[in-house]
Amino acid sequence: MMATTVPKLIGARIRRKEDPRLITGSSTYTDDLKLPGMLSMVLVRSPHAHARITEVDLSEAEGMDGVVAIVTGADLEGTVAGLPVAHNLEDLKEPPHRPRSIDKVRYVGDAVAAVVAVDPSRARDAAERVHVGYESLEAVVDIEAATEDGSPLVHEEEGSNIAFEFPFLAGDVDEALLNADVVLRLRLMNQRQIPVALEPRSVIAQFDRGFGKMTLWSSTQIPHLLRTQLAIGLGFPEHSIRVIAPEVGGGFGSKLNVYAEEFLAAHLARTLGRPVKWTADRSEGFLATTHGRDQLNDVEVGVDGEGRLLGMRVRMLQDLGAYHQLLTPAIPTLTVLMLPGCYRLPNLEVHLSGVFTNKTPTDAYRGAGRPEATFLIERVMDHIAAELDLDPAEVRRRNFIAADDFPATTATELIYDSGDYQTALDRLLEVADYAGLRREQKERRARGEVMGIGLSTYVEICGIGPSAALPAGGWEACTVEVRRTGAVVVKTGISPHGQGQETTFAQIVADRLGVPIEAVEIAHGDTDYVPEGIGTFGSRGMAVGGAALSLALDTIRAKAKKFAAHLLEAHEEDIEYEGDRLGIKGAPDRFVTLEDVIGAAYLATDLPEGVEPGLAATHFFEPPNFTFPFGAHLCVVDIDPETGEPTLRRYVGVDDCGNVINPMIVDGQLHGGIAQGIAQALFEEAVYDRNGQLVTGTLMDYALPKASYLPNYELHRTTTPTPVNPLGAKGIGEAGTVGSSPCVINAIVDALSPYGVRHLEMPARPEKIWRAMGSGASE
Amino acid sequence: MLLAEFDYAAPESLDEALALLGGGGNVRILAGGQSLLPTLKLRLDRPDLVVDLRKISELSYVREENGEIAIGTLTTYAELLASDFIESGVARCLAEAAASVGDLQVRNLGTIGGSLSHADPAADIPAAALALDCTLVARSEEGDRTIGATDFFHGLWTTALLPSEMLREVRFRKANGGGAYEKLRQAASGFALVGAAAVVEMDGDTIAGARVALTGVGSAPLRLHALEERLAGETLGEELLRDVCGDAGEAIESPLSDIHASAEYRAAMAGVTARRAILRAAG
Ligand SMILES: Cc1cc2nc3c(=O)[nH]c(=O)nc-3n(C[C@H](O)[C@H](O)[C@H](O)COP(=O)(O)OP(=O)(O)OC[C@H]3O[C@@H](n4cnc5c(N)ncnc54)[C@H](O)[C@@H]3O)c2cc1C
Repeated sequence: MMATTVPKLIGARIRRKEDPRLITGSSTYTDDLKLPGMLSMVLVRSPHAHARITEVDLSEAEGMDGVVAIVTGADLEGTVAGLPVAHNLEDLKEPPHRPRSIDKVRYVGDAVAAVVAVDPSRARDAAERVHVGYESLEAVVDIEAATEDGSPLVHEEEGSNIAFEFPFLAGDVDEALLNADVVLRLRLMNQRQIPVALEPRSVIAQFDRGFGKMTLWSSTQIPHLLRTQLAIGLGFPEHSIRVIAPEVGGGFGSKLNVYAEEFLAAHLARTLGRPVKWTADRSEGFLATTHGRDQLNDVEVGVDGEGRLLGMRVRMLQDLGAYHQLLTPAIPTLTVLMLPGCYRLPNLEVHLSGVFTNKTPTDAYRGAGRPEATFLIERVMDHIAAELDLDPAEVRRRNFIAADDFPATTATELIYDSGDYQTALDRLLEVADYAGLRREQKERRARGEVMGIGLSTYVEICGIGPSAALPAGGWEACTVEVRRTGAVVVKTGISPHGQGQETTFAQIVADRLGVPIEAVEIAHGDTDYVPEGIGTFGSRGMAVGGAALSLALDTIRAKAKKFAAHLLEAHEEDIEYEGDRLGIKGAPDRFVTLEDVIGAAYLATDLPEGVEPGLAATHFFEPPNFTFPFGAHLCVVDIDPETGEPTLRRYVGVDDCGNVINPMIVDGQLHGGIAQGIAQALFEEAVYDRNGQLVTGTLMDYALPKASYLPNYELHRTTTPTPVNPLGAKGIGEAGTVGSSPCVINAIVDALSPYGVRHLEMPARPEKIWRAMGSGASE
Repeated sequence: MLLAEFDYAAPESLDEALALLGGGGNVRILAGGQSLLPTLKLRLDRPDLVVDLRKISELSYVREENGEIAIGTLTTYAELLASDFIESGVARCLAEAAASVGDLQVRNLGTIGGSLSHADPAADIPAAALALDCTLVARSEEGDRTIGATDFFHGLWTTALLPSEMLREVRFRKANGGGAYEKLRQAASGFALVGAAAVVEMDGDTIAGARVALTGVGSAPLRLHALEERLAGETLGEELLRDVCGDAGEAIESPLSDIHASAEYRAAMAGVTARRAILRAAG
């Protein structure tokens, strides 16, 4: 048999197929679409964090030029359901989350009315003339104060701001702390962040009266889940709803949701009989799209004299904001699960409380619960090192789960699929020249310079996930159709919005079927075209969606072999499929090509016994477990001793996401992820004032880093495949974010250690660092 | 994103523009639009009429006249940075300030006159204008009126310009000496958390004269007259500068305090940036 005619693409640095259209602006986002007769929706939002609505006066606005309709919360009662929350928690308080408020507003940005007009400017003009009477109430802003007796209540009918308690216990922490040589206590605030996708949210709803069909274009990560929720929420039969996620300009978890505007646009399109569009502007997005993190942890940890973890107790408060969005309460439970990190932690006790406050709801944000866990345990590692005067790398080494312990069961009953943490750390220390850096640090310190080296070793939970662990299914679906001309169409249930699966999936198809990559089309994001799916989040695209693709390709290959065997008059088991040739083992000149097979399959004049015409397959992949990518990061920071300004001089990563389909795309995911983690460590913070006003309401005050603020990344890899899926790939979408925030803070604290500093809260702004060095009056 | 309605005019001559300005009502000039448009989008400003200056090409130039460098109000940051006149000497402080503004897109559109007229308390150009002791030329239908830089900035977004006036030109003397601008960035906006511009003339090791100005620290940019006096005639040295600049913050009447930095930090950084700017301007 001749050598394959197609070079192997899996593992190659293939340029992204999607980039030309994105870079040249020839792509279509939701807001680019203009439908005949389309109306614009603008929302009237509360300027108060907490207030009773005393009246809504529409009279002036209704009379304005171009205004078609205005609806308030009361108008929707009984027609449009509340927004969904998906969870597995016992006794979760689920106060109604109406798409428009009726009685009270509970955060700045909570919507009161929707104005529909012939164009967006007129809708906005009219929205300004909707007069809402408010009786202001005391706002619940501070998360600890929210849990106290006598605190004002976000939802009075619930009797408390605590939406749920989630206690967790493994082993005996009291005993462990009693036996510990050292008990350390630390308090860590994981600040609130605002996900800033380049494309703000946007939605268009169109209702076809003739067919009774609703089409919804939305900038979403989850078109299929949205379809189901629209059916439930608006009482539509699911077969007459089509959800399309056209080009989606990033999400980072903030579009992994079902939003009021989606329900409203659909409802209004149906009642008005004309298409309705809503697009957030940046400031509106800051208020009305979910935020991330906002978790306070009080940690008590016991170690032996050698720095080995004996037990840990964590009191965790998660700020939920004013309502549950789709996964709001689930996010901190992921933190709980991942608290052990890369380490052997025999005893763990956690008490998590989810708390309502008068702020924008929190939900998934790149990493979603895991960055919080990693930040916690990696700060703990450095505290142990400081307390026992050990090198932070050594403390990690002493606590790592060993390579031969995998699959490893954690105190939180997760089963880590595969890993080798020590090798990743060793590799990092070598490529970064850790010993040399420590020598350099000594010399610089002697010269009065302030330099720090930070480490973090992380493991995170990806490939989400087994359906048993999720409230709405964790499988993924894929259809592969080999068309008559040899074109291959893949219909995947994931909904990529920047991740690059149009390229990586095409690489897999090209290799496995022996077709040129140009002949492969990866279709996604349209529920009429792609019948089933879950979506893109939780670093699951390749690990779950790719696995479904792999199963479908297996079936296609098997069927192709049947045709080949028939054409060659050979036994199916004797057929080898390499490149685009299907030949008989050991008989190099007896083969047919895929083209021959396709011809036979579609002409169907001479079918093999019991074989149907066509060459297409659909598969659902149910992952038996999560995947657990891991890695080790190091960064070097220089601090200006006079101003406190930190400069990241180097950032080195050794990451392991199992098998890599496209190293360039993996690097790109890491770049973006690390940038977001650095951003949390140094720059970003959503600040609310005492009255619940979002002070960082625009990009003039919310510090999204610019490219010039970030270092070059030096990326290396180890490869530990996962047994969980047929590709051996683990997922890399969030790893960079998970590993980087603690790495940067550890470097800054290391730099400041000569000043007696043990911790600094994120974001480590220059002034904070300056004060930590003893400048300024103490506060 | 959605602007309120306003009338728009794009006159092709200065006189036409001035007539529109003199016509009363709430009129706004549009230069580079880099501050005006965000304000309009947020509906913080609702003019009746916007007068776009960009068709009046005679307002865009950098040239030497009678020992002075003259900059037309519509000159963009990028055009200014491309000019030979500001490459060295005292004008360095202006070049460094302009180079530190925003990003390339902003520097390609934003104008020197727009920045001065807008008078954002954290803008970079105003500090350089003070350190260069610029003369600002305002123009109305009545003709030109010159205003010294120290008299120009009145407070938050307010200047000596009258509603009927526009800024036409900025001038400064081509003096001996050097200039420098030091800036600590507010991470979100990229504007100055604290910025210091310095112009220094040396006579051997002795400071013959110095002008130093701050931005970002209060409601308006300010000259540090007392500090300048303490430097004049002294021998340049690290210790002198530490001593003199250590008090720089005291000149700020009510230092700004916000989520980005406390008043105390801003005051301390005023000293650090002033010292660094003076040292480089002298060097
Ligand atoms: C992303 C971004 C980043 C930025 N970063 C910085 C920064 O780092 N540092 C900094 O200093 N600035 C920064 N800016 C602001 C920028 O410098 C603006 O260009 C400048 O403030 C205004 O100049 P303009 O020509 O754009 O004026 P416009 O926006 O057109 O006008 C601003 C105001 O000045 C008035 N005006 C304009 N010209 C005249 C005139 N000739 N006479 C009278 N009134 C006039 C206008 O009516 C308006 O009120 C940034 C802006 C953006 C958008």
